[in-house]
Amino acid sequence: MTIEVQRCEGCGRNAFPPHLLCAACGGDRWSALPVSDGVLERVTVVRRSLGGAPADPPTVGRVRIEGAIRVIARVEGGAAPGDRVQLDMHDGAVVARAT
Amino acid sequence: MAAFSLAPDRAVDLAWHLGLRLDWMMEDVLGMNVVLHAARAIQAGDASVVAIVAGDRLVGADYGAMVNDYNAATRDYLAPIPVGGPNPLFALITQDHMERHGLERADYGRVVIAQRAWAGTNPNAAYREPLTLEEYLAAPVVADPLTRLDCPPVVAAAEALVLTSAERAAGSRGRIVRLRAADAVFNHDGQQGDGLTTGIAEMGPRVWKASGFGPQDADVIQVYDDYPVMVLVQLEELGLAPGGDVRALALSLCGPGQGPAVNTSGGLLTAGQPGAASSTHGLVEAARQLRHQRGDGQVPGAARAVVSAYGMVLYRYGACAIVATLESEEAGS
Repeated sequence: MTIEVQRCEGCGRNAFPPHLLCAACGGDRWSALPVSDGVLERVTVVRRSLGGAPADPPTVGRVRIEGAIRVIARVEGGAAPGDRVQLDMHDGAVVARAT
Repeated sequence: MAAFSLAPDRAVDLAWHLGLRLDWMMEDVLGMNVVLHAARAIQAGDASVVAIVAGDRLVGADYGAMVNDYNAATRDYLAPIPVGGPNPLFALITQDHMERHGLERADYGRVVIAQRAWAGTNPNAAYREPLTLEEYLAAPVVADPLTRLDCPPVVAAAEALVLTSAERAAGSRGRIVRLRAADAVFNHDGQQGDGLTTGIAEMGPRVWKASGFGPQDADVIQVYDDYPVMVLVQLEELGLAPGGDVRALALSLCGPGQGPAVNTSGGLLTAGQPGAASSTHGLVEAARQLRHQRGDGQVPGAARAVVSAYGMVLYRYGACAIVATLESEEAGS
């Protein structure tokens, strides 16, 4: 139940999605940092999208995680802004669920 | 950047992955960036006349295919959610903006309604009928708080402009439009911010300084309008919000004949978003205004303009920003 974030071995800065070089120090050595949770900042329900109005509209949210990184996620289980959410990868998508 | 195999990533995506903030970049999908390079080629004497053509034909499933494969980050981290294009991302940014400035949906409606009024003067606009606040507020929701009227209609379209040296232009008929200043910044904050600050914030003061005129002198203002929130952000960054008051700025937008002349073609929100030509849309409209060729939509006596372009969403918001100022005079004067 985690997502994988990059941690720069040179300066400790986190990156997501993955980078080649660190924006802070230019370093190219990364370690994988598993992140299991964050705080849900904003949500929006996607009522209309490509091809029309889905019967089960997805909720998209922004989650603040360790190192002040912000991740876009599918929000499930009725989590609301301000909630601590658990993060996981599901079918290639970052999914956030209320803890 | 030159690569056959980096698609869907472009130069700005590579810059982001390399942790680089750039002041100069070759990227031909940004029409206004091509204009900046063309101006330098003319200054250097490499070319005397440059025709800049920008356009895309997006029909049927083309748009969906493009937005889901916009770049590798979108393909790998946004499309699986699915976000279905940038609308939900700008819904989140609009929520932040509403909270920061104490705005309501009706305030963004002022942007759309004013631009619709301008679109009434543009025979090429997709939506030209006047729009009321009631109609705006009742539009179908796309991604809260954005409705269909906050998202530009996708159109197949093209735009073109011709750039030449001042020397060569002096012999032409009609008003001459000079490029006074231009600036660009790419990947300004590495997607580490909140999306409510674009590269225009840092460019604004130096562009005005290089122009020889200031925000209060601009007769015509064209800012990139993929979403109403970004119109207000860019106007504020260019120093066009009275006393920094963003709500007063929104309320000042009225359409032809009253208040500042902003996005006088109707902008992308009403004229349509034509792929790569979106970037030059404001510039073409500004040039037509300064040449006094805008018919019913003409801003009387227009002589100075500012134009911005913004976009290329890397992951959460746009990463490219370009600003130019223009000034016109009668040929031979």
